[in-house]
This record gives sequence, C-alpha cells and structure tokens, in this order.
Amino acid sequence: MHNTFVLVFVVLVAIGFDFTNGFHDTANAVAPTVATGALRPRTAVILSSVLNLAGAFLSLKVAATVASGIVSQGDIIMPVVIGGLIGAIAWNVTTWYFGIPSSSSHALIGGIIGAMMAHAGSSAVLWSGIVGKVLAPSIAAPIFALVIAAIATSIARRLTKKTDDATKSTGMRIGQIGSTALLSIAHGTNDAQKTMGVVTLALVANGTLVQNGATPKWVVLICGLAIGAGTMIGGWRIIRTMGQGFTKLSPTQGFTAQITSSVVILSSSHFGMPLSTTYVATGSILGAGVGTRKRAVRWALAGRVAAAWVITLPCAGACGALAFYGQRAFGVSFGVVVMTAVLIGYCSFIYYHSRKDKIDAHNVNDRWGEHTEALERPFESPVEPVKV
Amino acid sequence: MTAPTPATPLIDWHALVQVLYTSVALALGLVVIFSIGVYSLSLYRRSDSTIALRSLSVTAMGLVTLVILAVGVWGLIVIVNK
Repeated sequence: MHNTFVLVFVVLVAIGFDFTNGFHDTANAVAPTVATGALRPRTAVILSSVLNLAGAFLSLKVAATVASGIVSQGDIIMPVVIGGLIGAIAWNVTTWYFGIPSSSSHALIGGIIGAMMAHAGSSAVLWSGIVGKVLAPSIAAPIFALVIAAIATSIARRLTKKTDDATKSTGMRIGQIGSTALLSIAHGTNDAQKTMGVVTLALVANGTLVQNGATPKWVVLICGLAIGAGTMIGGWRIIRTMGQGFTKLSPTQGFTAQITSSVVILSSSHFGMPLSTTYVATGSILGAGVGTRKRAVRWALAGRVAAAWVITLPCAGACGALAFYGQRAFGVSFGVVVMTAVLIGYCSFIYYHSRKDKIDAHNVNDRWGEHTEALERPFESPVEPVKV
Repeated sequence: MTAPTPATPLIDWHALVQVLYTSVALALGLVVIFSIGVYSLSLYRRSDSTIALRSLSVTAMGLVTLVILAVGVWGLIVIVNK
C-alpha cells in the first residue's frame, strides 16, 4: 500500500498519542515528589521531561513490537493503526479530564483491538495474548506494588523513629529526586519506543521502509520530543489525584512509594514481564498509605480508579472501532481527515471544559476536595496527615 | 514418533514470581539501607556526638551512597538493555 497522504496522518496522530502519553503519565514519576515538596511542581515536571527525552534515545530494542501477540500482525492495515491511535488518544484525554491514572499502553492496545475487530472480526484478536500480556500483569502490578510499599513504609517508619524530623525530611526528599529521575528515564525509553514502533510499522506498511529495517533517526527524534513536550505540559489533574487524592504523603512515604515503583518496574523489565508503570505507581502510593499507623487511604477513590482500569480496554476499543468505521464510511484518505478532525474537536471540547476548574502548578497541592467537583467531592473523606 | 511440544502457558508465572522476589528483596533492602543512611546523617548532625560516632556515621553514609549508586547504575543498564 502506497499512500503518502495517509502515512503523514498516521505519523501526526502517532505523535499526538505520544504527546498525550507524556502528559498522562507524568504523574507516575513526579506525583509523590510534587506532593511532598521534594521538588517544586514546575521543576519536577521539567526534570522529568528532559529525562523522558533522554530516555527515548537510550534504547531501540522494543520498537515495532506494539500489539504483537495481541492481534494478528498479518491483518494490520493503516486504518486499523489510525483507529487504534485515535481510540487511545480519546480515552487518554477523557481519563485525564477526570484525573484518573490509567494505562496509556492499555488504551493503545484496546484501541488497536477495537479497530482490528471492526476490520477483521474477533478471530484476528489473540485472546490468549490479552490474558497473558494485559490482564494478568494488570492484576499483579498494583498488588505487588501495594504490598511491597506498605511493608517498606512500615520498616522505614520504624528505622527512622529516632531520626530528627529535619534530617529525615531532607534525606527522604533527596532519595525521591533520585528515584524520580530513574522512573522518568525508564518511562521515556519504554513509552517513546511504543510510538516509534507504530510509526515504523506504518513506514513498512507504506513501503517507505524495508521489512525489519532500522527505525529512522527522525522517528526517534520526533517521538522523544513529543513525549518530552507532553511531560513538560504536566498532567496536573492526574498528579493531583496521585499526590493528594489517595493519601496524604510524607517525605518517607513518598520515598518508599517511589523506590517501590522504580524497583518493581525495573525488575519486571529485567525478567521480560513488563508491568504497567501507572498501575505500579498507583499501587505503591496506596501501599505507602497502608504502611502508616492510621492506614489513611481513600479507598472509595481507589475503587473508582480501579473501575476505570477495568473499562479502559473496552472503552478504548469502542473508540478505536468507531474511528475505523468512520474512516471506512468516508473512504480511506478522506476518512482519515474526518476522524482526525473529530478527534481534534473532542480534545478541544475536553480542554475547554477543563479550563473551568483548572489544575496547574499553582494549585496542584491544594487541600483535596477544593477542585474538580466531579472527582474530588464524592471522595472528600478526611485523610489527616500522618507523621511518618 | 516425536515428543509432543509443551504448550506455552497463558501466563508466565515463572517470570511473575521472579519479579515479585526480586522486587521485595531490592525494595526492602534499599529502604533499610537508605534509612540507615538517613539515621547516620542524623547521628552525625547531633551536637553531642563524639568523634568516633561521627566517623562511624560518615563510614555508614559512604557505604549507603555506594550501594544506592550501584543500584542506580544497575537500573540504567536494565533500561538500556531492555
């Protein structure tokens, strides 16, 4: 298939996805750092952004493996890729509006599954791959992180009982900065490569690149820049949920949560069982709350987030399928333009509404319950700061 | 007659258990080591600490820094080799 016009749109939509991936997942690395004041909000986000960009250049080993083992690779066509990306962006933007930390990778996988089912039916989806690569890690990741972070917080609390408060705060905050840096590099390497994989796949499908050809340098550069720019914008709504919503984090809790996230993510990469960064980071923060004497966690909010995780795959899938049918209805070239325009319209609508109750670097650490009525008010149960 | 090929398990339980063991050992180990480092810094800063105690604190902090740096380097190697 040679259609440069469609190829250009695939690249543009893929960059758009990478951008949303950046701002959606900023919270995974920086939320505890921002919440405990280890770094100023803007500084934390800039640090994370630069390291995300650096991470994108560190490795290219997983490029072009997106959705492998999830859908039949032979059935992938350009409109399926675009449909998947549009579905993932739509779901990312929606969950961002509600301040819900959900997995961008699962949104992408869901979008591609939906578009693929619309194109070739359910037989083109490898359901066993979904259980092994998506569902099992989704359940394991937050549970592992929660249990480890709870034990780690409890241990740190006991070991530093006789340490003076000023030294403890300073020491733990320094530790947080280090783990934020490591998480940001890991995120840049991992997630920027997914988009590089999508663009490479499109280049191969278009005949621009030979099969198994190396990812072009310009693809690496634009993907790195897109995820870095997205991170720089800062997904403040999600940073707020993770940093202030689940529990009130002390520097010790912030450190144990982040060290747990770093270790679980790196170990899972090392053993070839990649776990969702978002699920691990969320589980770690909940665990840090559980590890305190008062077990001060807003479980109702955690339940709502878990419910969003459950519906991520079907909802992104439905969006992906709609985007695919839309393209088919208008013809491939014009359909791509129409569906991209619909996506831009939807994103603008969400952005406009988000401005009514804006969360940014200035109010991200405000008391929980003061902003975003839809998310905060129903879960305003008091969680008093715990001295750890 | 050829032996039947063993079916690939749906979930890689072996990798999952390895991730759990490694994460528990590393996370708890790091938290313990770092907490000792912070406690050592606190001892060093105390006005009533003796020279011996200060020397011990500095040694402990040095060792903790080395361990933390080693883990950071391991992390970067894992990221690059992924």
